[in-house]
Amino acid sequence: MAVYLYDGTFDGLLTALATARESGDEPGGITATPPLQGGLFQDVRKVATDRERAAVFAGEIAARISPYALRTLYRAFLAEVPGGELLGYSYLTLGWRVGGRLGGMLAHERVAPVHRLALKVGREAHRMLGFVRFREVRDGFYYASIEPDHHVLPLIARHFADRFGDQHWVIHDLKRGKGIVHDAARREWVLTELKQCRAPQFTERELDFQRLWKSYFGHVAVEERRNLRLQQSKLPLKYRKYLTEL
Amino acid sequence: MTLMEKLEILADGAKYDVSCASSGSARRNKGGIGNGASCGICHSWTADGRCVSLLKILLTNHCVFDCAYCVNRRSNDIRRASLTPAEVADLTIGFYRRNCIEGLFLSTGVVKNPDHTMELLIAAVRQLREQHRFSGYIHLKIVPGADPLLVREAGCYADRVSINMELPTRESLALLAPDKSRDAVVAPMRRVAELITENREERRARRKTPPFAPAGQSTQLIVGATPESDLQIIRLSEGLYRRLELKRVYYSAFVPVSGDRRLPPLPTPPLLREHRLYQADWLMRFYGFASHELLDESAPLFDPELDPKTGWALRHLHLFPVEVNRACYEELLRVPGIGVRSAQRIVRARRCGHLSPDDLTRLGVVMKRARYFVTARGRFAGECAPDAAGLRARLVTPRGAKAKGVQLSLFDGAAAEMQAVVTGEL
Repeated sequence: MAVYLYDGTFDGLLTALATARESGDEPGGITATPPLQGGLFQDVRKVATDRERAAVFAGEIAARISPYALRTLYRAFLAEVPGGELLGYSYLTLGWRVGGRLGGMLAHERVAPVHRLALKVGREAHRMLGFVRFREVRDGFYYASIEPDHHVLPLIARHFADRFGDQHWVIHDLKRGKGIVHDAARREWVLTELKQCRAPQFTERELDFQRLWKSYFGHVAVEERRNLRLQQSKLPLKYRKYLTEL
Repeated sequence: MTLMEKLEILADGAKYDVSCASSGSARRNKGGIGNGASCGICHSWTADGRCVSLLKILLTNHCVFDCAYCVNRRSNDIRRASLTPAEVADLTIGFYRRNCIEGLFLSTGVVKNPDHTMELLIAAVRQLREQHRFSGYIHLKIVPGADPLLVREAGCYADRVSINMELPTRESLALLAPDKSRDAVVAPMRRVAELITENREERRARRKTPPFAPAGQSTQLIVGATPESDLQIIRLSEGLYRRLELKRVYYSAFVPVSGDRRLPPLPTPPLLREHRLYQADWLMRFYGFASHELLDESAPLFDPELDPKTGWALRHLHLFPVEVNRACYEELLRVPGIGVRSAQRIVRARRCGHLSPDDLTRLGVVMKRARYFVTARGRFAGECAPDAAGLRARLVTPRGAKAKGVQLSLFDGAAAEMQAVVTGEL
């Protein structure tokens, strides 16, 4: 059974899935990280990302299964969980057979796990719309860092670009070393590799607002209703690191 | 007084208003800052487990009214402060740019008279919309008794407007809020409802018509400060939803903020009661229940041990079990443990094949409750056929089951769940 090695991009994954499908054999694995000790008898095949082929394959999924299936596959891919690619492969195999009905087969063992992943990613992306905290690092420049479980940057960029179109900002995913950089003058954003060189320095005004926000946050809680367990279930500790108020 | 002190005082005065929604408006950003996210976004959660979505503050906590339940009443000896429209705008924009909030919730004490106060509120939000070109969410309070023309103006700037009814009956209102008549509350609510309907029709005819309160109107009822029953409260809510098309009625467990003799001595806010009311509210809005199905004169209060839907199901066992492969959507919605999402999923999934009990779990049905009320392919997932008494015992969650130095038990999971139930956070 062949293990397909791709470059970690969605286009790469689509190329790998197309290659695996063409070969006709069930793949033993599809992964972006090379297996540490390639088993002696393991057949590792490196897949060169072919954007054109990926686009054709994506079009085929949308046409022969459904655009919804392609979207689900993409979101599940963003989950970046080991083994997710193989789930995607078996999801598609069923899809080729049943076509557009795939979207409704929510309880099927090949569909449910992929849907669950896609849902998880969607949920975290929605949470991040609230949890991103911009901090002013230079007059008119705002910087935010996050460490989400899944690769949600591609899903949240549009929202922030629409909302803060007149603002220069960066959302930095420290876990993945990637970031969205938004240019207010050209009203454009790019998703790019991003390293953090030094801890960000904040403007005076920024520090003022941080103090105001912290104090507001403390005062708005009703003491008689105190319920830290509820707070924690809504706002898990892992997300608190970059929240100004906590 | 520093801005920080003002913010603290005015946040303290606003926090008993429980409305927090930022949903329902998709206002577009037209070259300025901000937009509406129609799904609503929570930005944080405070130590009481309530979400922070809007910057919730008062314009001023000076008030000529003397409502017994209110922390800002005239006779209360607290520090008073006011913000200028410019200060409100700067705070809102400052927090908004940092993505701390979805927008502004602006309420106020009543200064001089209702019309003057309403004008101050409008001036503040006008500055935000016009000078700062702010298109984020604005929730604006309507002052009871304000002029209809001002009500109209308020809705042109705000995404949502609200007038708090606070007390369910005329008598309670007269007793605890002598300056606030029932009519002064209901008249503007009616006016807003009319304006929203008119605006909807105008926008249908001409798409460029500017929106009027696109996220609708809401109100709030205080629970536990006066002797009304749950039945009276949900009947009132039902009427508000049906006749005035309110988006939300909020319930606020009464937190004693004064030692006024007119108020009942409550040791703690009635949070569980508040939670049951929210559950009933949801059942009326999304599950097709009518108030008389949930409560009646013989039982005017909710069972603290059972959620209203399970309570209803136990009184109507002859309608169960329901076969999930055949039941219509409305029937599925009435099964305890099946919510709107899982009912939709069942309807979608069964088109592609017969569902088994295991499939239901995968679809997100809470089988812990649903197992006694459904069959799948003719089979029960529960081990027993329903019998009222035994079933009740299985479905109640022990009250106040707080894990405090108790022996470890099999039911720790249930205790954790109960904790979330008691809070009434939604």
